[in-house]
Amino acid sequence: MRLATIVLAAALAPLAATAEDGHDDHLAELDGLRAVHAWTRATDATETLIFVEIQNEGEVAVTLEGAHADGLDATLVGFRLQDGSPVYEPVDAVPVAPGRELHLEPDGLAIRLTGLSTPLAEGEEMEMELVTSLGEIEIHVEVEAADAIAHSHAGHNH
Amino acid sequence: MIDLWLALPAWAQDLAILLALTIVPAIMALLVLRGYAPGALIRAVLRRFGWTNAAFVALIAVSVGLGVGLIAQERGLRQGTAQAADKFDLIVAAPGSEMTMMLASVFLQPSNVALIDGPTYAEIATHPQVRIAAPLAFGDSWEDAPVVGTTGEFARHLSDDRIEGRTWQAWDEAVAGAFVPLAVGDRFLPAHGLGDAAEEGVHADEATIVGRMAPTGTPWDRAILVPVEFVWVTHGLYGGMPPEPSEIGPPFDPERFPGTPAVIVRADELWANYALRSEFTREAETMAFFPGAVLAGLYRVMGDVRQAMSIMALVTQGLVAASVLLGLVILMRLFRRQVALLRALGAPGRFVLAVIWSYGAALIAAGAVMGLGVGWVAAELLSRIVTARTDILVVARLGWPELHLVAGFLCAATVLLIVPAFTVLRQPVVKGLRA
Amino acid sequence: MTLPLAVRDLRVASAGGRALLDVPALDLPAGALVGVRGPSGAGKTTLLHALAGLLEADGTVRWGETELLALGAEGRAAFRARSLGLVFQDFLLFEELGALENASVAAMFAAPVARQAIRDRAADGLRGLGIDPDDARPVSSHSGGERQRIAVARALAGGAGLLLADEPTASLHRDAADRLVDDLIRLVRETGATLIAVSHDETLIARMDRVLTIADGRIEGGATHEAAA
Repeated sequence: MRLATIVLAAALAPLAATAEDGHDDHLAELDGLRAVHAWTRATDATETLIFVEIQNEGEVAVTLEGAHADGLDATLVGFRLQDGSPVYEPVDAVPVAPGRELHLEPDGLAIRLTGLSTPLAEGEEMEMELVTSLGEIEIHVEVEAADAIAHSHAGHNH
Repeated sequence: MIDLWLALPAWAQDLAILLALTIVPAIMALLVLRGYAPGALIRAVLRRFGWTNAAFVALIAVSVGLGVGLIAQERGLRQGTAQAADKFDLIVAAPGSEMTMMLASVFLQPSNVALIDGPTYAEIATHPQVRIAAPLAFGDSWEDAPVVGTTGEFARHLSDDRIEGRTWQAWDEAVAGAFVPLAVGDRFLPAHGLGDAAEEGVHADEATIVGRMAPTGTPWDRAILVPVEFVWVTHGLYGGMPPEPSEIGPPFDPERFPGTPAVIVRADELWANYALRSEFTREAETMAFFPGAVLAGLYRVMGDVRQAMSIMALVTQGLVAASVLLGLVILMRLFRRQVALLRALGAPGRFVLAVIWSYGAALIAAGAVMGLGVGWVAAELLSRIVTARTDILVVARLGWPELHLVAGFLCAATVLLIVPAFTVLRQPVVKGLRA
Repeated sequence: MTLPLAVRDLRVASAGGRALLDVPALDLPAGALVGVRGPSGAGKTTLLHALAGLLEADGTVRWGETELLALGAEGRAAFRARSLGLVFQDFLLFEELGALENASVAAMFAAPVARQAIRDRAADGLRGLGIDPDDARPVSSHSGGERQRIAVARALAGGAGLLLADEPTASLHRDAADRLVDDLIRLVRETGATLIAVSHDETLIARMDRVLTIADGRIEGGATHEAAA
């Protein structure tokens, strides 16, 4: 049983396409720290990677320390090529200077969730919190196709 | 159960798979041979059709070997290219193709790319988390060796500080890659351009080799590294610089900096690489990328090819197993008479089965083991050819996947072998005696 | 241990349904030496194969208490291993194995406790027939007479009381044939075994207690021929 909320895309897609409210679902803000376009890939494995763009529009440096997801183990990890095979190794914390962005993206930084008990299907959504030096910031993670390399809204400016 | 399996280290999982695949033939052998002593008879049959048997073993060995060699080679190639990119944590360049930029900087494949200007370079170089920010200057060569301008710091980083002699201290000193045919103390005159397009006599300034890097397993082993100022001066690019600069290396004056196609960045901390990548990914200004990530993308594309290759290898092994079994059916007609005789003498069916199965299994096992040898030799040869052609050190060693492939083949073939063995057993005795 | 034979209504047909062998009744006492003769194709070898349980037939072939035709392939094989030795015209040895290995081939599939006894009997048999059991040469290098003697040693190594021989002398020249006949009769007499030998060889036939003549798949008259010697 997974505790993260899952909403069907069918219910969400019209909102996202038409209303401002819809956009808010993939944009979260805390004291000038914005987390936009959180996404992951559809999978039936017990592990997945969460990607998100973090923009620090505040006055002070913020440190991304990790993440929280109900019932799941969440770790900040970084990509590395080891002997020709990609591996993700734990990373302690990454600071984001004022006015800067930090992209969690494929073959780079990511949040690794382990302990998934149900498959993630494309179009579903789940909630989790990023842990930062400012406090926790809630993000809505959209499940993209199993072979996606970016958020389906990537490139939009919020 | 699944949790226990996942908790095992990779090597233990691999070993367990190997054992599972080899224990099946072992159990079969135990089942058919239990209580019997057919050794002498099996040896007799092996000797009787010696040449035919040898041809069978060779056929199995070659086909198993090719499968083994190919997958070992593919992995070696992946490891070799990844190893070559190991020293290039992060590359910042003008926006364009990451692949082109990676090929140009890591693998020294020349191409025309846009440049990063002095102020941008200065911003990278002075970033608090950046330890090394090495500009690169391509375009010149000496004989077949590309002459690459950079910083002494990068030369030390690239060679892990293993430099025979020393790094440059003057603008017209150079460090040779491990396989450049120049000795410390030699002087050389770079030509303008690379390969067939190189023009001799354009440059007038000679440089002196003062050091030689230990082998790095990358195309840089065939390059000559010079201070970036040397390239700028010989091309008349470092505006206002006296003909012989007295101070070399960073910091470079942003106003006079003529631009660089790429900056190789080394950060203080692992996490800083990710932060720097985000920071220097700027639309229309710079792109920042991990060569490792570009290679990983390439491997993913190749992964499909690899999967196709693995499936082909599996199908081939399957076909080989099928033809071996078919061949054994035909071969077994040759000793129908011996089989009938054994039955006439009162041998139980399982004994006859034991003789036939052991005979076939001996051929298959010998072929599979020799196949590992053939695969090893094939991978070794291919690696040498690839290394010689690309200067990327490719070492193909036999690993778990190859052992699994061979053990899987052995397992499937010896299990299926029971079918032809049964058909021989079911033939009428009297007909066999008269055969 | 030797056994009496009782055959009733034994019929063997070819694949096309033609009768190859038809024996309404045949009784032989334990320890008898019986020659079988008749023109080629009359059914002599078929009779021998039927008595050994090597082919499918109607009727009954009873060796002592064992009804052979009622047994399956494995049961018949076990009976042969236990009670019956076969000698063939063209020896049918394993050419790559040595004399002792051939003579004791049954040890390979016998119960482990019985193996040594088979090897000992094979070695004794070979010595008794003038062949060195320690000679490791493959039998392909032996003469025809030696090879047939090895085959006889093999047939007796299991301790069988029944010996069925199919033209045992036909592939041998006269001297070797005579020697084999002498050896065979002597051994059979010594062990008290039953011998049924199909043969054209009058020298062999003449040494038998009783001779059956087969023509067209039938035993003629059940004639009895007392041994001359």
